[in-house]
Amino acid sequence: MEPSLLISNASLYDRRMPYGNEKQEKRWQALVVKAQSGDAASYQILLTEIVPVIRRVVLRSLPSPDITDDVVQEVLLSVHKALHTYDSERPFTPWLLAIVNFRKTDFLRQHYASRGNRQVPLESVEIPDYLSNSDASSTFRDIENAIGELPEKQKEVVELLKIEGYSTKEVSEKTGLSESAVKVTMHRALQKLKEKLA
Amino acid sequence: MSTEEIDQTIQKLCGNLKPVCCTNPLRRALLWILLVVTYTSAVAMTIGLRENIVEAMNRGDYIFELLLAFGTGITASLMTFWLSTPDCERYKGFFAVPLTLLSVQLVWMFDRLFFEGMGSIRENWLSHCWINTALHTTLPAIAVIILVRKGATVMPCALASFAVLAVSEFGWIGMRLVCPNDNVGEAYFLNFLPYVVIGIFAGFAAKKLFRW
Repeated sequence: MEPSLLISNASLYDRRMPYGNEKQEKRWQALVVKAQSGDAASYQILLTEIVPVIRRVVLRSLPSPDITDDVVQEVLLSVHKALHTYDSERPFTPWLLAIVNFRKTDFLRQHYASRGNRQVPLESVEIPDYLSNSDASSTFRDIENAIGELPEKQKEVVELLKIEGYSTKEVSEKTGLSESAVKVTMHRALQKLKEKLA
Repeated sequence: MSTEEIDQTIQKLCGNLKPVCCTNPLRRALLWILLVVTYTSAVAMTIGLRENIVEAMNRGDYIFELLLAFGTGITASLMTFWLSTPDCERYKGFFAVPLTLLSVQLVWMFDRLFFEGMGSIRENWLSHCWINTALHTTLPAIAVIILVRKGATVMPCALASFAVLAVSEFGWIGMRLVCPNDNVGEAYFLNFLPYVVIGIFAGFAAKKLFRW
């Protein structure tokens, strides 16, 4: 037979089991069986050995590596809860990966439902420094200049409504304009600002 | 969270380790089937078998209907319990069996519905049949939830669907044994469909119900 056609059994097995080899699989199977009978030492070895595998699977599909260890911990707890469902006649890795994928999906569902993907840790928020950043300060100055060039009434309404934060009703009381006149003035002022800053 | 915290978790889990018995899903499935068959027979006997049971048992269509429901119920319950273990992926090929049997049953029912009509659903609405069906299905439903929760499913919605199917089929068999009405429209809409609908709504709670 040609050498190129010779494929060892080991390499075929490796293709089926991307996260380990036959030897490791057998070792894990033996460890789980011992763990099921209450052997804490074997259980500790097993959990310690599967952590890198879980981390590797989880890391590929999580939006941030910071939350990987949370999911790893969830998976470890689930492995503990489902230990009695493992059948020693069956391979261990598919059983483990099913739990990993289930917990990962569960986590991602909750993460997106709570809009976790849109939350940014406070320490990571970048606020431009208008005093030292020349680009930001020039943009800011352009806006100030544009507001300054507005007619007096429009300038007053913009300052009260948008800068000082008064409500339409309060601005109406301060300026003597009706509420709808305040809204119309504000709208016209914004149109002018848009034209000036475009 | 850091590696130290994961190590602490491992230590804690090892400290809490107790010997566990491997629970075979097939054994739980057989236990449930045995329970439900015994229960359905007992309830049918208590309520009283339909008066024309001997005549009905000689009819091919009646036997076919019962056997079809029995086959669907058995395969759906096997599927339910197989799905209660994490590595249930290997049983996915078996999905087709209860679903095909269910399709045959639905085609059979709709075919009969076309010829026999809807019957007098309005007159028999909220009759004693509702109580009988509730009797037939409540205990098997509770038993299936308890036994499934002994496992750890990674497909709660599919599991709930098969559980609903299994309970409904055995309930349907029970009702066909006690209810003398052979009009399929009436029997289907009064004795079967309401519980499938209730089961489907219960299925929406499956993720919470079978959470582990």
